[in-house]
Amino acid sequence: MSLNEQQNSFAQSQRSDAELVHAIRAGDLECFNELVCRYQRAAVAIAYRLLSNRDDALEVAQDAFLKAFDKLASLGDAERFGAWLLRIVNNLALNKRRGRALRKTAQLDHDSPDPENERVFARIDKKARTPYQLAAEKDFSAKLRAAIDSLPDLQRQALTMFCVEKLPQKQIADIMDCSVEAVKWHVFTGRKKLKEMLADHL
Amino acid sequence: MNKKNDIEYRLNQKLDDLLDSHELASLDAELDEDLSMQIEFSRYKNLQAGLEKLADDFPFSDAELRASRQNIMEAVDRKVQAGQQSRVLKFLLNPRVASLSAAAVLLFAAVGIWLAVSRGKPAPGKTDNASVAANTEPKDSQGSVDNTTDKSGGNQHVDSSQPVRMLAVSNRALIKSVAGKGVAKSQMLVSKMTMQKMVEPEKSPIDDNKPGRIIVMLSGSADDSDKQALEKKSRVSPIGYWPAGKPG
Repeated sequence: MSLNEQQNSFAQSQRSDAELVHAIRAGDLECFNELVCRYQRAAVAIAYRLLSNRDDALEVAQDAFLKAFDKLASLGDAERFGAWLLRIVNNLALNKRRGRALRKTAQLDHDSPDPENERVFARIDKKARTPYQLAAEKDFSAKLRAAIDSLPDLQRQALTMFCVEKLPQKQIADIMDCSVEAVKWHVFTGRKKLKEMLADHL
Repeated sequence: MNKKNDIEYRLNQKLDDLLDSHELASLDAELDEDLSMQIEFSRYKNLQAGLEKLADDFPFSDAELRASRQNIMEAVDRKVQAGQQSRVLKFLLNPRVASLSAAAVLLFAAVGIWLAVSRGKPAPGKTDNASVAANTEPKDSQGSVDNTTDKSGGNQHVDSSQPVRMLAVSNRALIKSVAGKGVAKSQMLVSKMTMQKMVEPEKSPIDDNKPGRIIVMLSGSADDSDKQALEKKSRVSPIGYWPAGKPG
Protein backbone atom coordinates (compact mmCIF):
# COMPACT_ATOMS: atom_id res chain seq x y z
CA MET A 1 0.00 0.00 0.00
CA SER A 2 1.47 3.36 -1.01
CA LEU A 3 1.68 6.23 1.45
CA ASN A 4 -1.05 8.09 -0.34
CA GLU A 5 -3.45 5.16 -0.12
CA GLN A 6 -2.57 4.60 3.51
CA GLN A 7 -3.21 8.24 4.36
CA ASN A 8 -6.51 8.17 2.53
CA SER A 9 -7.65 5.11 4.45
CA PHE A 10 -6.75 6.82 7.71
CA ALA A 11 -8.57 9.96 6.73
CA GLN A 12 -11.69 8.02 5.86
CA SER A 13 -11.82 5.97 9.02
CA GLN A 14 -10.73 8.41 11.67
CA ARG A 15 -10.93 11.95 12.86
CA SER A 16 -9.39 14.64 10.68
CA ASP A 17 -5.91 15.95 11.29
CA ALA A 18 -7.36 19.29 12.33
CA GLU A 19 -9.57 17.70 14.98
CA LEU A 20 -6.64 15.75 16.36
CA VAL A 21 -4.38 18.80 16.40
CA HIS A 22 -7.01 20.81 18.27
CA ALA A 23 -7.43 17.98 20.77
CA ILE A 24 -3.66 17.83 21.33
CA ARG A 25 -3.56 21.54 21.90
CA ALA A 26 -6.28 21.00 24.52
CA GLY A 27 -4.04 18.47 26.27
CA ASP A 28 -5.15 15.13 24.84
CA LEU A 29 -1.86 13.32 24.23
CA GLU A 30 -3.60 10.20 22.96
CA CYS A 31 -4.51 12.15 19.85
CA PHE A 32 -0.85 12.76 19.16
CA ASN A 33 -0.32 9.02 19.33
CA GLU A 34 -3.03 8.71 16.68
CA LEU A 35 -1.24 11.21 14.46
CA VAL A 36 2.01 9.33 14.96
CA CYS A 37 0.29 6.10 13.90
CA ARG A 38 -1.14 7.89 10.89
CA TYR A 39 2.05 9.43 9.58
CA GLN A 40 4.83 7.28 10.97
CA ARG A 41 5.17 5.09 7.91
CA ALA A 42 5.25 8.07 5.57
CA ALA A 43 7.79 9.86 7.72
CA VAL A 44 10.05 6.84 8.04
CA ALA A 45 9.72 6.01 4.35
CA ILE A 46 10.63 9.49 3.17
CA ALA A 47 13.53 9.67 5.60
CA TYR A 48 14.71 6.25 4.45
CA ARG A 49 14.46 7.17 0.77
CA LEU A 50 16.50 10.27 1.37
CA LEU A 51 19.04 8.77 3.76
CA SER A 52 19.24 5.12 2.64
CA ASN A 53 19.96 4.13 6.23
CA ARG A 54 17.50 2.41 8.56
CA ASP A 55 18.74 3.77 11.86
CA ASP A 56 19.09 7.30 10.56
CA ALA A 57 15.61 7.12 9.06
CA LEU A 58 14.01 6.02 12.35
CA GLU A 59 15.94 8.65 14.26
CA VAL A 60 14.99 11.43 11.86
CA ALA A 61 11.33 10.39 11.95
CA GLN A 62 11.33 10.41 15.75
CA ASP A 63 13.04 13.79 15.85
CA ALA A 64 10.53 15.13 13.37
CA PHE A 65 7.56 14.02 15.47
CA LEU A 66 9.05 15.53 18.61
CA LYS A 67 9.82 18.76 16.79
CA ALA A 68 6.29 18.81 15.43
CA PHE A 69 4.92 18.33 18.94
CA ASP A 70 7.06 21.19 20.23
CA LYS A 71 6.03 23.53 17.44
CA LEU A 72 2.40 22.46 17.17
CA ALA A 73 1.26 25.83 18.46
CA SER A 74 2.91 27.49 15.48
CA LEU A 75 1.02 25.38 12.93
CA GLY A 76 -1.44 27.76 11.34
CA ASP A 77 -3.66 25.45 9.30
CA ALA A 78 -4.18 22.35 11.43
CA GLU A 79 -5.59 20.45 8.46
CA ARG A 80 -2.18 20.57 6.81
CA PHE A 81 -0.44 18.77 9.64
CA GLY A 82 0.65 15.92 7.36
CA ALA A 83 2.41 18.09 4.81
CA TRP A 84 3.90 20.17 7.60
CA LEU A 85 5.24 17.11 9.38
CA LEU A 86 6.68 15.62 6.21
CA ARG A 87 8.33 18.93 5.46
CA ILE A 88 10.04 18.70 8.84
CA VAL A 89 11.08 15.13 8.02
CA ASN A 90 12.36 16.29 4.65
CA ASN A 91 14.39 19.13 6.16
CA LEU A 92 15.81 17.02 8.97
CA ALA A 93 16.75 14.26 6.53
CA LEU A 94 18.39 16.81 4.27
CA ASN A 95 20.38 18.23 7.18
CA LYS A 96 21.36 14.75 8.27
CA ARG A 97 22.45 13.86 4.77
CA ARG A 98 24.54 16.99 4.47
CA GLY A 99 26.12 16.36 7.86
CA ARG A 100 26.83 12.81 6.88
CA ALA A 101 28.36 13.91 3.60
CA LEU A 102 30.66 16.17 5.55
CA ARG A 103 31.70 13.34 7.83
CA LYS A 104 31.93 11.01 4.84
CA THR A 105 30.60 8.10 6.79
CA ALA A 106 30.01 4.89 4.96
CA GLN A 107 26.51 3.76 4.17
CA LEU A 108 26.45 0.11 4.97
CA ASP A 109 22.80 -0.63 4.56
CA HIS A 110 22.94 -1.26 0.85
CA ASP A 111 25.81 -3.67 1.35
CA SER A 112 24.20 -5.43 4.25
CA PRO A 113 23.27 -8.87 2.98
CA ASP A 114 20.61 -9.95 5.42
CA PRO A 115 17.72 -7.54 4.79
CA GLU A 116 18.26 -7.74 1.07
CA ASN A 117 18.27 -11.50 1.16
CA GLU A 118 15.04 -11.45 3.09
CA ARG A 119 13.49 -9.26 0.44
CA VAL A 120 14.81 -11.52 -2.31
CA PHE A 121 13.33 -14.56 -0.61
CA ALA A 122 10.04 -12.72 -0.21
CA ARG A 123 9.99 -12.05 -3.92
CA ILE A 124 10.70 -15.68 -4.68
CA ASP A 125 7.68 -16.64 -2.64
CA LYS A 126 5.47 -14.06 -4.27
CA LYS A 127 6.37 -14.12 -7.89
CA ALA A 128 8.41 -17.28 -8.39
CA ARG A 129 11.06 -15.49 -10.45
CA THR A 130 14.16 -17.25 -11.65
CA PRO A 131 17.38 -16.62 -9.76
CA TYR A 132 18.74 -14.83 -12.82
CA GLN A 133 15.76 -12.47 -12.90
CA LEU A 134 16.06 -11.85 -9.20
CA ALA A 135 19.74 -11.12 -9.49
CA ALA A 136 19.08 -8.77 -12.38
CA GLU A 137 16.34 -7.01 -10.44
CA LYS A 138 18.55 -6.69 -7.43
CA ASP A 139 21.34 -5.32 -9.56
CA PHE A 140 19.05 -2.83 -11.24
CA SER A 141 17.57 -1.72 -7.90
CA ALA A 142 21.02 -1.16 -6.47
CA LYS A 143 22.05 0.88 -9.50
CA LEU A 144 18.82 2.83 -9.41
CA ARG A 145 19.31 3.65 -5.74
CA ALA A 146 22.86 4.73 -6.39
CA ALA A 147 21.69 6.89 -9.26
CA ILE A 148 18.97 8.48 -7.13
CA ASP A 149 21.53 9.14 -4.39
CA SER A 150 23.68 11.00 -6.86
CA LEU A 151 20.87 13.39 -7.86
CA PRO A 152 20.77 16.93 -6.49
CA ASP A 153 18.69 17.28 -3.30
CA LEU A 154 15.58 18.86 -4.83
CA GLN A 155 15.38 16.41 -7.71
CA ARG A 156 15.94 13.45 -5.42
CA GLN A 157 13.26 14.65 -3.00
CA ALA A 158 10.69 15.35 -5.68
CA LEU A 159 11.38 12.14 -7.60
CA THR A 160 11.35 9.97 -4.49
CA MET A 161 8.14 11.39 -3.10
CA PHE A 162 6.36 11.40 -6.44
CA CYS A 163 7.59 8.26 -8.18
CA VAL A 164 8.37 6.02 -5.23
CA GLU A 165 6.04 7.12 -2.47
CA LYS A 166 3.31 8.22 -4.90
CA LEU A 167 2.44 11.36 -3.03
CA PRO A 168 0.32 13.86 -4.98
CA GLN A 169 2.24 16.67 -6.64
CA LYS A 170 0.29 19.24 -4.62
CA GLN A 171 1.32 17.63 -1.35
CA ILE A 172 4.92 17.38 -2.50
CA ALA A 173 4.82 21.06 -3.32
CA ASP A 174 3.59 21.72 0.22
CA ILE A 175 6.32 19.56 1.69
CA MET A 176 9.05 21.10 -0.41
CA ASP A 177 7.59 24.55 0.04
CA CYS A 178 7.55 25.26 -3.68
CA SER A 179 5.05 25.39 -6.55
CA VAL A 180 3.54 22.36 -8.25
CA GLU A 181 5.28 23.45 -11.44
CA ALA A 182 8.61 23.36 -9.65
CA VAL A 183 7.86 19.86 -8.45
CA LYS A 184 7.08 18.77 -11.98
CA TRP A 185 10.30 20.29 -13.21
CA HIS A 186 12.37 18.62 -10.51
CA VAL A 187 10.75 15.27 -11.29
CA PHE A 188 11.35 15.73 -14.98
CA THR A 189 14.99 16.70 -14.67
CA GLY A 190 15.60 14.00 -12.08
CA ARG A 191 14.02 11.35 -14.23
CA LYS A 192 15.93 12.51 -17.29
CA LYS A 193 19.21 12.18 -15.42
CA LEU A 194 18.23 8.74 -14.22
CA LYS A 195 17.45 7.66 -17.76
CA GLU A 196 20.84 8.88 -18.87
CA MET A 197 22.63 7.16 -16.02
CA LEU A 198 20.71 3.92 -16.48
CA ALA A 199 20.50 3.96 -20.26
CA ASP A 200 21.98 0.48 -20.53
CA HIS A 201 19.41 -0.99 -18.17
CA LEU A 202 16.19 0.53 -19.50
CA MET B 1 15.64 24.94 -23.40
CA ASN B 2 15.88 23.58 -26.93
CA LYS B 3 12.92 22.18 -28.82
CA LYS B 4 13.66 18.51 -28.16
CA ASN B 5 14.04 19.15 -24.50
CA ASP B 6 10.83 21.13 -24.46
CA ILE B 7 8.93 18.30 -26.11
CA GLU B 8 10.44 15.77 -23.76
CA TYR B 9 9.53 17.91 -20.79
CA ARG B 10 5.96 18.29 -21.92
CA LEU B 11 5.70 14.59 -22.60
CA ASN B 12 6.99 13.74 -19.18
CA GLN B 13 4.71 16.31 -17.64
CA LYS B 14 1.77 14.72 -19.35
CA LEU B 15 2.87 11.29 -18.20
CA ASP B 16 3.32 12.59 -14.67
CA ASP B 17 -0.13 14.12 -14.70
CA LEU B 18 -1.52 10.78 -15.79
CA LEU B 19 0.50 9.04 -13.11
CA ASP B 20 -0.77 11.53 -10.58
CA SER B 21 -4.36 10.85 -11.57
CA HIS B 22 -3.79 7.07 -11.80
CA GLU B 23 -4.66 6.99 -15.50
CA LEU B 24 -1.31 5.92 -16.80
CA ALA B 25 -2.48 2.42 -17.61
CA SER B 26 -4.97 3.74 -20.12
CA LEU B 27 -2.26 5.54 -22.04
CA ASP B 28 -1.02 2.43 -23.82
CA ALA B 29 -4.06 2.22 -26.01
CA GLU B 30 -3.90 5.88 -26.93
CA LEU B 31 -0.34 5.85 -28.18
CA ASP B 32 0.16 5.88 -31.93
CA GLU B 33 2.50 3.64 -33.84
CA ASP B 34 5.44 6.02 -33.65
CA LEU B 35 8.43 3.86 -32.75
CA SER B 36 10.36 6.61 -31.03
CA MET B 37 7.37 7.40 -28.87
CA GLN B 38 7.02 3.75 -27.98
CA ILE B 39 10.68 3.51 -27.06
CA GLU B 40 10.45 6.63 -24.96
CA PHE B 41 7.32 5.38 -23.27
CA SER B 42 8.90 1.99 -22.72
CA ARG B 43 11.90 3.58 -21.05
CA TYR B 44 9.57 5.68 -18.95
CA LYS B 45 7.60 2.62 -17.88
CA ASN B 46 10.74 0.62 -17.09
CA LEU B 47 12.15 3.40 -15.01
CA GLN B 48 8.84 3.90 -13.26
CA ALA B 49 8.61 0.16 -12.58
CA GLY B 50 12.08 0.25 -11.06
CA LEU B 51 11.16 3.23 -8.92
CA GLU B 52 7.95 1.57 -7.77
CA LYS B 53 9.89 -1.51 -6.80
CA LEU B 54 11.88 0.68 -4.48
CA ALA B 55 8.65 1.36 -2.63
CA ASP B 56 8.66 -2.30 -1.63
CA ASP B 57 12.01 -1.73 -0.04
CA PHE B 58 10.74 -0.72 3.37
CA PRO B 59 12.94 -2.65 5.78
CA PHE B 60 11.07 -1.78 8.95
CA SER B 61 9.06 -4.37 10.82
CA ASP B 62 5.86 -3.56 12.66
CA ALA B 63 7.65 -4.22 15.94
CA GLU B 64 10.32 -1.66 15.08
CA LEU B 65 7.73 0.94 14.15
CA ARG B 66 5.78 0.17 17.34
CA ALA B 67 8.93 0.55 19.45
CA SER B 68 9.71 3.79 17.70
CA ARG B 69 6.17 5.05 18.38
CA GLN B 70 6.59 4.11 22.02
CA ASN B 71 9.86 6.04 22.16
CA ILE B 72 8.17 9.05 20.63
CA MET B 73 5.29 8.98 23.09
CA GLU B 74 7.61 8.50 26.07
CA ALA B 75 9.67 11.45 24.93
CA VAL B 76 6.48 13.48 24.52
CA ASP B 77 5.40 12.51 28.05
CA ARG B 78 8.76 13.60 29.40
CA LYS B 79 8.45 16.87 27.54
CA VAL B 80 4.98 17.46 28.96
CA GLN B 81 6.13 16.69 32.50
CA ALA B 82 9.20 18.87 32.11
CA GLY B 83 6.96 21.62 30.80
CA GLN B 84 4.65 21.32 33.80
CA GLN B 85 7.60 21.40 36.20
CA SER B 86 9.06 24.42 34.50
CA ARG B 87 5.67 26.12 34.67
CA VAL B 88 5.47 25.37 38.41
CA LEU B 89 9.04 26.60 38.86
CA LYS B 90 8.28 29.70 36.88
CA PHE B 91 5.21 30.28 39.03
CA LEU B 92 7.19 29.83 42.24
CA LEU B 93 9.97 32.08 41.02
CA ASN B 94 7.49 34.82 40.27
CA PRO B 95 8.59 37.66 42.58
CA ARG B 96 5.09 38.25 43.93
CA VAL B 97 4.49 34.55 44.66
CA ALA B 98 7.96 34.14 46.15
CA SER B 99 7.51 37.10 48.51
CA LEU B 100 4.07 35.88 49.60
CA SER B 101 5.45 32.37 50.19
CA ALA B 102 8.36 33.73 52.23
CA ALA B 103 5.97 35.83 54.31
CA ALA B 104 3.76 32.82 54.96
CA VAL B 105 6.73 30.69 55.98
CA LEU B 106 7.97 33.38 58.35
CA LEU B 107 4.51 33.74 59.83
CA PHE B 108 4.19 30.01 60.43
CA ALA B 109 7.68 29.89 61.94
CA ALA B 110 6.88 32.75 64.28
CA VAL B 111 3.62 31.12 65.38
CA GLY B 112 5.41 27.80 65.91
CA ILE B 113 8.11 29.38 68.01
CA TRP B 114 5.56 31.32 70.06
CA LEU B 115 3.55 28.16 70.70
CA ALA B 116 6.65 26.17 71.65
CA VAL B 117 7.81 28.86 74.06
CA SER B 118 4.44 29.54 75.63
CA ARG B 119 3.53 25.88 76.11
CA GLY B 120 6.98 24.68 77.09
CA LYS B 121 6.79 21.65 74.89
CA PRO B 122 9.96 19.77 74.08
CA ALA B 123 11.20 19.57 70.57
CA PRO B 124 9.53 16.72 68.71
CA GLY B 125 11.48 13.63 67.80
CA LYS B 126 13.60 13.48 70.92
CA THR B 127 13.54 10.01 72.41
CA ASP B 128 12.99 9.22 76.02
CA ASN B 129 16.10 7.22 76.55
CA ALA B 130 18.17 9.83 74.83
CA SER B 131 16.83 12.40 77.26
CA VAL B 132 17.74 10.30 80.22
CA ALA B 133 21.15 9.45 78.91
CA ALA B 134 21.87 13.02 77.94
CA ASN B 135 21.52 14.25 81.47
CA THR B 136 25.19 14.79 82.10
CA GLU B 137 25.05 18.24 83.52
CA PRO B 138 26.81 18.98 86.80
CA LYS B 139 24.97 18.07 89.93
CA ASP B 140 24.67 21.64 91.13
CA SER B 141 22.69 22.57 88.06
CA GLN B 142 20.12 19.85 88.65
CA GLY B 143 18.28 21.43 91.56
CA SER B 144 18.52 20.55 95.19
CA VAL B 145 17.06 18.05 97.65
CA ASP B 146 14.70 19.32 100.25
CA ASN B 147 15.18 17.19 103.32
CA THR B 148 11.83 18.09 104.83
CA THR B 149 10.71 14.62 103.98
CA ASP B 150 7.33 13.68 105.26
CA LYS B 151 7.79 10.51 107.27
CA SER B 152 4.20 10.12 108.28
CA GLY B 153 3.68 7.15 106.02
CA GLY B 154 1.53 6.72 102.97
CA ASN B 155 2.59 7.50 99.44
CA GLN B 156 5.07 10.25 98.87
CA HIS B 157 5.92 12.49 95.97
CA VAL B 158 9.27 13.46 94.62
CA ASP B 159 9.40 16.90 93.14
CA SER B 160 12.18 17.82 90.75
CA SER B 161 13.48 21.22 89.93
CA GLN B 162 14.76 19.87 86.63
CA PRO B 163 11.61 19.32 84.59
CA VAL B 164 13.37 19.49 81.31
CA ARG B 165 15.27 16.34 82.13
CA MET B 166 12.07 14.52 82.66
CA LEU B 167 9.85 16.00 80.07
CA ALA B 168 10.50 13.36 77.52
CA VAL B 169 10.72 10.51 79.96
CA SER B 170 7.70 8.31 79.57
CA ASN B 171 6.25 6.09 82.25
CA ARG B 172 7.72 3.01 80.77
CA ALA B 173 11.19 4.47 80.33
CA LEU B 174 11.36 5.86 83.84
CA ILE B 175 10.15 2.68 85.48
CA LYS B 176 12.54 0.69 83.33
CA SER B 177 15.45 2.92 84.24
CA VAL B 178 14.64 2.96 87.94
CA ALA B 179 13.13 -0.41 88.70
CA GLY B 180 15.57 -3.23 88.81
CA LYS B 181 18.44 -0.90 89.38
CA GLY B 182 18.18 -0.52 93.09
CA VAL B 183 14.53 0.31 93.61
CA ALA B 184 12.13 -2.56 93.87
CA LYS B 185 9.29 -2.25 91.41
CA SER B 186 6.77 -3.00 94.11
CA GLN B 187 7.99 -0.04 96.06
CA MET B 188 7.40 2.40 93.24
CA LEU B 189 3.74 3.13 92.86
CA VAL B 190 3.97 5.45 90.03
CA SER B 191 0.46 6.00 88.92
CA LYS B 192 -0.39 6.78 85.37
CA MET B 193 -2.16 9.92 86.37
CA THR B 194 0.85 11.15 88.29
CA MET B 195 3.10 10.37 85.41
CA GLN B 196 0.81 12.31 83.14
CA LYS B 197 1.52 15.20 85.38
CA MET B 198 5.19 14.47 85.03
CA VAL B 199 5.12 15.01 81.35
CA GLU B 200 2.84 17.97 81.64
CA PRO B 201 4.77 20.12 84.07
CA GLU B 202 2.66 23.15 83.37
CA LYS B 203 -0.18 21.33 85.07
CA SER B 204 1.90 20.43 88.09
CA PRO B 205 -0.12 21.12 91.25
CA ILE B 206 3.06 21.88 93.23
CA ASP B 207 3.79 25.47 94.11
CA ASP B 208 0.55 26.96 92.91
CA ASN B 209 0.63 25.21 89.57
CA LYS B 210 3.97 26.71 88.76
CA PRO B 211 5.27 25.19 85.53
CA GLY B 212 8.39 23.18 85.49
CA ARG B 213 7.85 20.64 88.21
CA ILE B 214 7.78 16.86 87.98
CA ILE B 215 6.08 14.54 90.37
CA VAL B 216 6.86 10.90 91.00
CA MET B 217 4.71 9.02 93.48
CA LEU B 218 6.55 6.52 95.69
CA SER B 219 5.23 3.73 97.83
CA GLY B 220 4.77 4.56 101.49
CA SER B 221 7.15 1.80 102.41
CA ALA B 222 9.98 3.37 100.45
CA ASP B 223 12.82 4.44 102.67
CA ASP B 224 15.62 6.92 102.13
CA SER B 225 17.83 4.41 100.32
CA ASP B 226 15.06 3.80 97.80
CA LYS B 227 14.66 7.51 97.27
CA GLN B 228 18.37 7.93 96.82
CA ALA B 229 18.42 5.05 94.36
CA LEU B 230 15.54 6.68 92.49
CA GLU B 231 17.34 9.97 92.43
CA LYS B 232 20.48 8.31 91.22
CA LYS B 233 18.95 6.11 88.61
CA SER B 234 16.50 8.61 87.26
CA ARG B 235 19.13 11.30 87.50
CA VAL B 236 16.54 13.69 88.81
CA SER B 237 17.33 15.70 91.88
CA PRO B 238 14.24 15.95 94.06
CA ILE B 239 13.65 19.06 96.07
CA GLY B 240 11.03 17.68 98.37
CA TYR B 241 8.73 14.84 99.45
CA TRP B 242 5.11 15.15 100.23
CA PRO B 243 2.42 12.86 101.52
CA ALA B 244 0.30 11.27 98.88
CA GLY B 245 -2.59 13.60 99.32
CA LYS B 246 -0.74 16.87 99.06
CA PRO B 247 -0.06 17.39 95.35
CA GLY B 248 -3.48 16.36 94.15
